Amino acid sequence: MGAIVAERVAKTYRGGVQALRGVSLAVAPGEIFGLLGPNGAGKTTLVKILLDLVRPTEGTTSLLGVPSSASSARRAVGYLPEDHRFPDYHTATSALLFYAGLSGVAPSQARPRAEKLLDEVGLAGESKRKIRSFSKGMKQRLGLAQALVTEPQLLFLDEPTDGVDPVGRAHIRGLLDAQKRAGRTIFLNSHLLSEVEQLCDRVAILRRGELVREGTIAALTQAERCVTVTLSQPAGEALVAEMAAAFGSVRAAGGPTIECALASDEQIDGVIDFLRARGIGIRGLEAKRQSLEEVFLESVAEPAEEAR
Amino acid sequence: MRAFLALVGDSWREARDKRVVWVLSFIGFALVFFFAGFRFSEPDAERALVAAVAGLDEIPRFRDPFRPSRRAEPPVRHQATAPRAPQPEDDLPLGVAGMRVVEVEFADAVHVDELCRSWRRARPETLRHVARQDRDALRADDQSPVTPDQRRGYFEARLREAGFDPVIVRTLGDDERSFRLAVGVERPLELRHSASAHLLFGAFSTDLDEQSPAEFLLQLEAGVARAVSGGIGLVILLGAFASVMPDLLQKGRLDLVLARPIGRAQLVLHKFAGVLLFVLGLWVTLFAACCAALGASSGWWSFKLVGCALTNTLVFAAIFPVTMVAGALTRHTSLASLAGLLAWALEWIVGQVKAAMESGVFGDVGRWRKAIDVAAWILPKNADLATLNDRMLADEFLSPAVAARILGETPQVDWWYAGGTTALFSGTFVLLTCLYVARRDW
Repeated sequence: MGAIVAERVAKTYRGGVQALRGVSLAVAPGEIFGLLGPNGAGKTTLVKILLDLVRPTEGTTSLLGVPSSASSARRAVGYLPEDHRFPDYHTATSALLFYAGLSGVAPSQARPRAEKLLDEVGLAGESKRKIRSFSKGMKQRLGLAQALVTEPQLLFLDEPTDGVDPVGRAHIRGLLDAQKRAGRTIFLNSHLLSEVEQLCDRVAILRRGELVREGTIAALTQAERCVTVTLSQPAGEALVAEMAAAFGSVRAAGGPTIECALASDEQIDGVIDFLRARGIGIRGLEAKRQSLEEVFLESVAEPAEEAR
Repeated sequence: MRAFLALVGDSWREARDKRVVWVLSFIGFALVFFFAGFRFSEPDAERALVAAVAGLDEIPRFRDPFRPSRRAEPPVRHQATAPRAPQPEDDLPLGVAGMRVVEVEFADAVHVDELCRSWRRARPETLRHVARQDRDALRADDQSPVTPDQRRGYFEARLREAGFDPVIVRTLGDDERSFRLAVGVERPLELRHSASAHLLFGAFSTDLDEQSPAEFLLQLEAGVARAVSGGIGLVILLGAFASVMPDLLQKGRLDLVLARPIGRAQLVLHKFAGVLLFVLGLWVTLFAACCAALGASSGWWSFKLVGCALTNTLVFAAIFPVTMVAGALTRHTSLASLAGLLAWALEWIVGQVKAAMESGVFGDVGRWRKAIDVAAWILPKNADLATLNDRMLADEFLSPAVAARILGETPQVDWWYAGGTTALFSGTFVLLTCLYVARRDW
């Protein structure tokens, strides 16, 4: 059973805007899942449908096996919305106690948690200050604390480091790592690809309401059947031409390195045999990886006919 | 329950932040100060009897207990003896505590009959003839001869109105112009003309002529209950809590709440109940403080004053859902506040127009009558709810006979109808708010 499941979810807003078109995904318990996509791709709509803030036009969603439409589905959920706004008459502590209370957590339990969380997000000294005097970064940290105050099993974070300085970001990443180690399932919406790359086990990329890529970071960033081979000697033009004739697309990548785009995984053995037969030593061989940014840009690029 | 308590706590913080508590606390302190500085002098039965007998030539008009009026004293056309204790030859029942006797002699019997006829014209049933413009009934009523029983009834009614009980009237002689009036005092605080009220720790004093101490206190407390918490207080609270829905539905704020295990309709209902609980707590505190101040200063513990907190909360509960719907639809605090005040004003206007139509002021109004009846049926009956305060307080201060005499002049209320239609109005608006929040995408 997936911790978070969406099946064929579609959403058309009043006015005919299609935000989602048949999105299906499943997030396993304990997984950190990243949802990527350009602005307007439908990321926030999907999160809101999962939390029943927005009702889908079609499809079903569930959290920990309970349909999202049931309020009990949100019992084990923590959520940090993108543009959250706290009632500014609260102090940091009273806000955390309020949100914990809404989830049914007794004040006696919530108070020590709130103090601990404020310490962890770096707001320990500001616990009695009114939120109206907080900076955006401080509100973001407090938002993260409110998402965690109920010790949820599922954590939905929409741009958790938005507005936070680099030191704060590192701090929050550390906090999310700790949540991962604690076995929590995290659903992360972020524009910061480096952040997603560092934190997530698996990502999905949305484009115009459709899921265009999904998989582990390793799988997505691995260029299909492309290997980089480091030789014991500089790769001469003759060798490159000979290999291209044997294996297809091969090019010198500078110095002793060549890149081979292979038709099948079995051809890797052929490349090794080819080089060894010519007495050329192999000093390194690795599957070539794209950066997540490259994968993302490639995935969200408009097809030529759509762009027109 | 924890979610509900969390929302109540949130309402408290929100209200405190808006300074509404401080404004109402200031009003509350002013009231407590006023009640703490309030004293009555000891009621004096002989003074009351002398004043009541002196006023026998005066025919009070229809008495509204909340708006007493003074009129010019008419010329006195009778002589009265000084009050005395009853003697055996008076032929009066024994054992009546504090009984006093006065003998009155009028200039002539015709004058007594004029008084009786005037008195009859002031009776509620005669006033109803006036309201209906039933001239035949009025003429018949006026021209009917005054009987000996009616003469004695006149004096008995006048003395009972002055707060005496029992009252015994004997005719002296055959010319129907001399009478022996014997009165007892069961409830000294119901005696008119018997005491003085000292306000603000004695800074101001006033003789209670038209009222008994009990009536004065009833007027004072009912006035506070109506004017402060039903009027000014209601306006302040509607203004303060008009922002509840616009604030709650703010983008980014509602997400934080709805992502919790709480249903949308439940959220609206909890917020509504939380605000009502806050208002109830506020009024209970205010009225309890006034009750304590009055009890400590005058020895009168008016516990039913605290009960007015409930009535005034119900009045607020009848109007507040209008601000909720308006706030949800417009997301604008001022418009929400205005909608609540308009509903309140509309209810008052329709009530006044309906009463005027029923008394025949507008003549034949045809279909307008139906429209006003429908509007009156739909709108909350806050005026009726407010009379609950008068009844509660009157029951506490006045004997059943005096309470019936005063409240009998106020309109009769069908509580099932008033409560039911008001609850329907309020419930409809709460339901509309719930539906709006439940059906939308956030």
